[in-house]
Amino acid sequence: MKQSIVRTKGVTKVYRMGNNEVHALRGIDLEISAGEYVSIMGPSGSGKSTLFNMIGGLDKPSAGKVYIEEVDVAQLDAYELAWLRCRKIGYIFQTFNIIPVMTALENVMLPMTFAGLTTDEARDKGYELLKLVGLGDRVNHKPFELSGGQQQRVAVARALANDPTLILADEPTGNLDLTTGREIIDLLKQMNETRGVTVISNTHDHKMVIVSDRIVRIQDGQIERIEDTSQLKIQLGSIDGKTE
Amino acid sequence: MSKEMFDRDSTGKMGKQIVLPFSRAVEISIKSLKMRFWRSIITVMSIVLAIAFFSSILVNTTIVRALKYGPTQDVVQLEHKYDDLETLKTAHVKSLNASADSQELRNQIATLELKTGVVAADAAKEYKILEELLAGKRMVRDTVNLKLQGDAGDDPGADEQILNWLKDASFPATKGELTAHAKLAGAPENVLRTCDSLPEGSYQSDRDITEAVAAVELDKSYFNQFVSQLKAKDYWLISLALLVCFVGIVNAMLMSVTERFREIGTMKCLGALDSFIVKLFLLESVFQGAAGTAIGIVLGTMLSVLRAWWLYGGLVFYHMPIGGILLCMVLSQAVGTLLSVVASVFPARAAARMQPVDALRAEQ
Repeated sequence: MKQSIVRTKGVTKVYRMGNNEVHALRGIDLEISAGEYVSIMGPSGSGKSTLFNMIGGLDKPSAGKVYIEEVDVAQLDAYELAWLRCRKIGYIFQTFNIIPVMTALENVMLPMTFAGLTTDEARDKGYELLKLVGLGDRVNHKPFELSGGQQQRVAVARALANDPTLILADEPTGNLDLTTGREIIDLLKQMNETRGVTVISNTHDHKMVIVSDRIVRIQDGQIERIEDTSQLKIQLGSIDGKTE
Repeated sequence: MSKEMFDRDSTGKMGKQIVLPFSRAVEISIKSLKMRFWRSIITVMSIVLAIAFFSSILVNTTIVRALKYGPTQDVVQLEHKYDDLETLKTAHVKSLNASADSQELRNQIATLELKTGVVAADAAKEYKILEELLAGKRMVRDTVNLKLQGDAGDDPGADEQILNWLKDASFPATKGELTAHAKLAGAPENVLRTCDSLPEGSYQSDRDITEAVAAVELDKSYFNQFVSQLKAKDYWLISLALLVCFVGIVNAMLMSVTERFREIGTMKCLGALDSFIVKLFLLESVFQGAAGTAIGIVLGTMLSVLRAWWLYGGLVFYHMPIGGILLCMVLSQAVGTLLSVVASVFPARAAARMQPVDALRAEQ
């Protein structure tokens, strides 16, 4: 019996815009186990991002519950929430979000600083992580000296800094070209397999489909279906390398 | 100051995030400032100018006040010595022509010799030298006072004010008599107050009054010295300059916070507490403020001293109130730094309220 990393029960989110009510999520029931690689897919406005925010402890549902490792996120105070984000979850963003005033190494060291590691411990671990993602020779480069793909690699290294149990990737390949996107996806899958970290990815990218264990399809604030990729035969065609 | 950490073990029990030591926030804010150096120059410039203005007014006030009473005190001291020498000279001449031994005269001569440090035989010569010196000092005093009057406009020194109102007073007079006379003449409140603050005793002449007033004024605490010199116009100008500076800092910081919404959101995703974000921005502002203030103070003080040199000539350096000026600088540093801190409170709290969710927004 696998440990449940994320469990949602009847999660609903209603936004109030002036006099209108927008039902972003209409009762989502989802369970994700340890070590899975899950992709959440759906058209714009389907509630994908909102669900993602719920799962990642970035927002509270209007109704229903979200459990991360069986802890109700809505019950946590600011300190516990910060701890959760620091130690349990690693975030990867579409816009990379590397701190521009710090080098790649300092960026990877930052979450370790928040976790209370000393500078030396953090530095050693930072080096290791950057080597792991293939940036061992660029540790002292600032973000503006790195390409998009390299910045995203730094983000991956940073997400792994405190050995989280969960990595949340919001459109990780959204700002990357085909080849680089593929590299990042492979990197994430590699982390998932070697370290056993659960990966939940919010994405439009069909290249993600191959590496995912399950695909959650969202439409209109509800789960349309959940596909198990081991039961699907996937063939992606390609015309001059373009698959979409 | 760190909260207890409940972190039990790495198998996933919930813990509480620790409050990071101050030094971390300091490191990060210094890095941010270095990177955003040129952007923050504008904010720093406004602080430099406002504080330069502030400190130049303070230093100018200090220098002018030292000039008002310094030369006057010099003259009065010399006049005393002058009188004593005159008396000694006369006594000496008398003793040369005296037929009998006058013990009283000899005592008088001995006392005066002790007081002036001049031997009776040399009294006449010293007297002549002192006369020239005194003439020179009087000229300096009058020149300075004239310049000060022109500079100060309707604000002559306290001693001149009093003397104006006591023009027809009969000497010798006590303090009470003088105050009554001034009141009858219709002197304003501040003149009466100065009269009142004079020490008790008998006043023989204008000079006694001048001396007493100068002593009283120079005896006042530095703070009172400022207050007595500053006029309503000065207060208004200073307040305006500092207010403009304050608004400038708040505005620049808010812009900076808005620009960095992604960075703040990301930091929160990495585990930063709200208080950490506040510290970060507060520290950035304090460093900027302290640096800008320091530069402003140097600039303002230099300008004041140069202006005084230009207006009153080299004698300014004989009456330079070093202690007073240092106090002005310390006060200005305090005001400037405090201004930066207070101005940054609102933007820093706005920064802390930014949500991690905003970091995910993909639009630029």
